[in-house]
Amino acid sequence: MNQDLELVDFLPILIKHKRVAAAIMAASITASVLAAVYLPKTYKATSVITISPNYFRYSYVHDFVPEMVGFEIATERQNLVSGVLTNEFITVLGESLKIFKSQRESTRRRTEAEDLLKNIEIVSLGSGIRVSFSAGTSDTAYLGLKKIISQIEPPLQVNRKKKLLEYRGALERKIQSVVLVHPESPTGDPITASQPEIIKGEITRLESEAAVLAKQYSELHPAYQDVLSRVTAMKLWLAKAQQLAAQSSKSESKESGKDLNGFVPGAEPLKVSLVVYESLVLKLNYLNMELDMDKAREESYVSIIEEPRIPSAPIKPSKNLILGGGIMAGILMSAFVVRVREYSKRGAPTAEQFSAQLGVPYLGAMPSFQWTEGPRRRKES
Amino acid sequence: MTNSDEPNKGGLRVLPNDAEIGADLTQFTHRGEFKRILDQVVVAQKTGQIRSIAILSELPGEGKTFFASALATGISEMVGSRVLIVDTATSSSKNSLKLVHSSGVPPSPVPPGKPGEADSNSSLNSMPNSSSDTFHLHEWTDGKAEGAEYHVSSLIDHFKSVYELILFDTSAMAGTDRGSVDPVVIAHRCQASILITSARSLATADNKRRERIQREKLDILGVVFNSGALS
Repeated sequence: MNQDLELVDFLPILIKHKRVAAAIMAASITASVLAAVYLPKTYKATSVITISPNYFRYSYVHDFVPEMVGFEIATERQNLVSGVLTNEFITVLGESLKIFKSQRESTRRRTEAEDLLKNIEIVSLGSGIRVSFSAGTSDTAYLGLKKIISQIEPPLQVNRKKKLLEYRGALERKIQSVVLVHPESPTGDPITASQPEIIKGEITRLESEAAVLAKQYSELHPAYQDVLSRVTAMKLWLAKAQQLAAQSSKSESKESGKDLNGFVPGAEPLKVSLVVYESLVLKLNYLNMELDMDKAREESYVSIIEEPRIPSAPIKPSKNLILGGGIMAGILMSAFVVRVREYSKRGAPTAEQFSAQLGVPYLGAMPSFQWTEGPRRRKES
Repeated sequence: MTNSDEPNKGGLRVLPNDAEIGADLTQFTHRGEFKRILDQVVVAQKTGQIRSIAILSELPGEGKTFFASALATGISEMVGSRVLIVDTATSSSKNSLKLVHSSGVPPSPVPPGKPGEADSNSSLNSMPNSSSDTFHLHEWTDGKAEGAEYHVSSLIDHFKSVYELILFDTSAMAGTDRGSVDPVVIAHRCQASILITSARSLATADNKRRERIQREKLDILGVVFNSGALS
């Protein structure tokens, strides 16, 4: 007896056990319907936002503050939005939406926060960013998404201001280093300008700059020559100042007992390029204008391309998938049970197995025989 | 169509006990599945010099008569051996088949205990152009059914010079149509046996039955499964 059944051979067996098969199918479909109805649902609210290109643009200072381009902006957009999802914010979000079940701060609470983070999706769409939030109810999903979006704007302003202030600080330090030696500086401090230690530091910095330039250009290059002349001028000034300091320390300072704090009275300010000074002051002014413009800005950097909506249907569980799975499982289980019932439940061995049990050869199966006209039986009276 | 309407092919036919038509076995014996069974029997017969085989089955209606007829027809037609089928049944049910020759000529009896008195060929129910014949055991015992199985050896001795193979179509080993002629005793007097089984007997097969068959120490040539047996 051939145990490898084909579908054609199996169909009559399935029909023979149709009640069992139908019961299993019905049970499987019922279970899948119940699962589709009672399994916890997940709703997903989605919105598409973008961060305005103006956020990455500096109208007044773009010539010395580097701007991002193309893919850099797309990446930075996603980083800025993802940066909102701090542990603190996730904790606040979970508490405000009453998603957390544990009452106290604990490991479990941290686990819940991590799970909540997994419910937030941020996907870059080029110029836009799709932000999604999944929750157990449609309202929670919607409110959570709104909170996430509202959380994006404030850090943007802070970050931009912080960046501009960092540039302004650098400019001011640079101006200070120039001013202290500039003879016609309106803010120059002659006392500061006469500090030898500051000049020594400047000489060291300029020598390093000259070494770098020497590797790139020839010794005749104007940039290299300019740095070199400044170093020479400073060294001359330093030598003269140290000489004056030595003389004054012997006479005045010791007698008066004043602490000059390294200042060199009588030393003349160094002469450096006026152009450099003016350029730096100009940049500082523009930077202040940029900061003033940002401060006065009322428009948000975050634009909403697709408004968040209350989700109308859950994304999980998928009813079609569960019902389809239930039907498939029903078919497979029915086939399995029917086959088991047909060949195993009754414990009937196959002819081959019976032969083996008897320890005799199995000669084969007689082919089916069809009576030519069917054995007509006389009807019993 | 009645039996008498059949053309005289000189071959064996099987006929349901109460049916009006029969069936020609020639086409059946040409089927590949049956040929493979036939081949194994012929090889075993030649190898073991087997001249007598008892066809056994656990339950009635599993196809002993049909198989014996088909086997006889196949061997006689394809191998060219003369085959005698000895019907040992003493009773029959509605499900039983009966053996007939296509010619419709009834078998002629052979006197019991007198194998040498007459020419075997002339006394048997052999048909023209046929190399397979049928014979009823009770004819050998002069109509006595009781104890007929103990005359099987003499019957075999008598006919072995005429037939290369003698098949004994027995009653079911267990069942309502079991006659007074014990199939196990007949099988013991034959050189080999073939056990016919069906889905019905397999469904009820258990260790006890298997042990009972094994206890009889029958020389079983093999098992044949009849998928078309009565259920």
